[in-house]
Amino acid sequence: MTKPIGDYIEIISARSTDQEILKRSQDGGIVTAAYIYGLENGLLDGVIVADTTEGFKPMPKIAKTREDILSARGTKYSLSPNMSLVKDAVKEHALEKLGFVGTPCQVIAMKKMMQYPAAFRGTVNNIGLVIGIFCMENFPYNGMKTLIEEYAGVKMTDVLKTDIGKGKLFVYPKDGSEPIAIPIKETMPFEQKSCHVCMDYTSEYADFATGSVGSPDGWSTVIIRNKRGKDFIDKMIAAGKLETQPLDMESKFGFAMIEKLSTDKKTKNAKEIEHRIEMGLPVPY
Amino acid sequence: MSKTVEIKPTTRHEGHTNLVLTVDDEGIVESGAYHSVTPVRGFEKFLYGKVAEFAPIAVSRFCGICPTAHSTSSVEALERACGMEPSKDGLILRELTAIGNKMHSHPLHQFLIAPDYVPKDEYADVVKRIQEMRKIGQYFVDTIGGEAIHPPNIKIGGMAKNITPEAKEKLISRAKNYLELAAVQCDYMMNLYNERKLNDGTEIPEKLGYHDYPLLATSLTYGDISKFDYSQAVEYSPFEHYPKEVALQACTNIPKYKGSLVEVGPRARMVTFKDFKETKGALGIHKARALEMAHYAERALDLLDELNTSGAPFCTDPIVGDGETVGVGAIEAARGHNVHAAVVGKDGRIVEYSAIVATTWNIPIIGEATVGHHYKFAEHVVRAYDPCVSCATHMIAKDYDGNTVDEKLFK
Repeated sequence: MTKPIGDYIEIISARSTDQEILKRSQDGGIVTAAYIYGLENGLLDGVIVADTTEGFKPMPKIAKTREDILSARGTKYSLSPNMSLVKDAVKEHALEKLGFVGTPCQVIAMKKMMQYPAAFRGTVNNIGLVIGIFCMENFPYNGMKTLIEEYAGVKMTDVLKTDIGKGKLFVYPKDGSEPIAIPIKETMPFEQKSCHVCMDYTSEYADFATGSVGSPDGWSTVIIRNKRGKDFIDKMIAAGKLETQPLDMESKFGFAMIEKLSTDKKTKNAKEIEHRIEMGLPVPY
Repeated sequence: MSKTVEIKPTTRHEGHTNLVLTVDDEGIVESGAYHSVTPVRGFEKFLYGKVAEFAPIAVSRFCGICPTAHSTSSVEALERACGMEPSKDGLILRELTAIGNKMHSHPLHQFLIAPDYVPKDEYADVVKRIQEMRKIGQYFVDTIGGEAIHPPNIKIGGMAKNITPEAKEKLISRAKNYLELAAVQCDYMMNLYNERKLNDGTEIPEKLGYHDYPLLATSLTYGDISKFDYSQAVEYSPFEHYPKEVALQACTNIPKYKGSLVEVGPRARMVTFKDFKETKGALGIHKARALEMAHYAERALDLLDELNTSGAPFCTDPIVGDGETVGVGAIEAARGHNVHAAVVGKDGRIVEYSAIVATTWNIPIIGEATVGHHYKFAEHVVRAYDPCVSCATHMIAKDYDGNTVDEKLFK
């Protein structure tokens, strides 16, 4: 078994210091804060974000301003093909320092592309930052729609935000009423099948990875994985854009929780991979 | 008594060619035959029956140096065969891509001839400047065309995508930068050419590469079909032009325009459109090429100024022809007049496809232009034309009377 959460330089808890970001961010608003800081300070000149279109359908977007980014805050739990815009961003948008955020699988794709830039010649040099998010599994849009409309009884057009935590999927309606909770067990049949052979929970190939697990409410865990990620986070801290605290290494809800969830995912999916190999099914690993 | 001198392969250009010269006792060339030995590619044959949209993608693969010129000629030909009106902004973007390609190709040629002309101690600086210029040219193709090599955005009806205002600003600033670099580079190269000396001190004969054939060009920067009459262009078998033993090896045919061989390329363009009165011959072509670079950047700036970044990049007319209309696309590639002709059927598939590319026009001229000087200068004449031969490779199964040529001759 590989290391549970991959290689890293440093691991911290952090949150944005910008109240406007925190107001509607998923947890600590790390991705939003990093992107806005990057754009405003010339470290990035454009970023790819997962925005939502009508009916809470995720759709990637190239954002170049603070407003663009703020409108795309929050986790979508449904597929947003962010990689599909990378080439457009570098070509007709002429971006030279592109910021990218993605799920572990998208980060793997990005890193593969950077290693073997077939058909992406000239594109990979213009990637300025790769942020990964923690991801246990994802839902196809129609699966998500069935869950939210059938189980929670909320129309997709009325969804403000979704969140997974404490073993439940919470659906926040736009009218401000109480969130509706769906137990995770109920959601499992709607998961993407390909997520069941994924061996990456914490975006092990990103410059830095972030997610809520391991940190208190309103904070995010940030796993800094390489020098580029470290430099970026250090600059943000120095500029007062991030508030940090050491990660809880003692209790079972801190670092241990990240390790546990990651190990769980890897163990479970390793079995699925074995099973698929036995059945003669393709496994992309 | 005359002797035969063969230079094979000729070097520092694209493709595989031989130069067969008959020289007298003094080594002066009496007759020259320059011919391609690049194996036949067969593009024009395998395009038959394919959907029209495939042609620009396929012909782009003629060559990796000027793929843009081929896909541009191809889409122009197909649009005319289908009676389509491409969108205005699409045409601007397409011309910009084509200009970007030439902005990279011309300095590349100066890199290829640098070992002949540039003194060793200045070589590094010159090459560095050339590379900077090429980078800008390729940036144009990359940004607008979608890829620096084999740009996928060039499509029938216009271009697949428009650019953003930010990209336009970046292109403008780079075009200005190119203008500055081109001015320095052009001055530098012109001084070398005016000295008429190779960097080893050998004097270049004043009339090296002179010939009396007419010139053919339709535009300074892009291509103008109204100035070209396709019915006057006839392709002859190599056996009509070369001695038999050379023709047996040759993989090109010999195109003539209005009954004569023609020179195409930078000198043809500059003489036709810019009142270029400099010397003829090899150095004349070099000088024309050096001067052209700035014109490209200026034209690019004008086009960028005209471009509406929110305009529709392509038209949505159906890509179907009538099975009879011959659409002709004539684009000025870096190396000259590049013609593609196509017929599209009612089902949108290609019925006929033919290409007479830039270097094909020049190949017979190059051999003849070596006559009258010592054979040691012959390869400098070849290089002056910047031949790009893999795309010029072309094969016919019939002669001009429609008779099938004996297949054995092509073995």
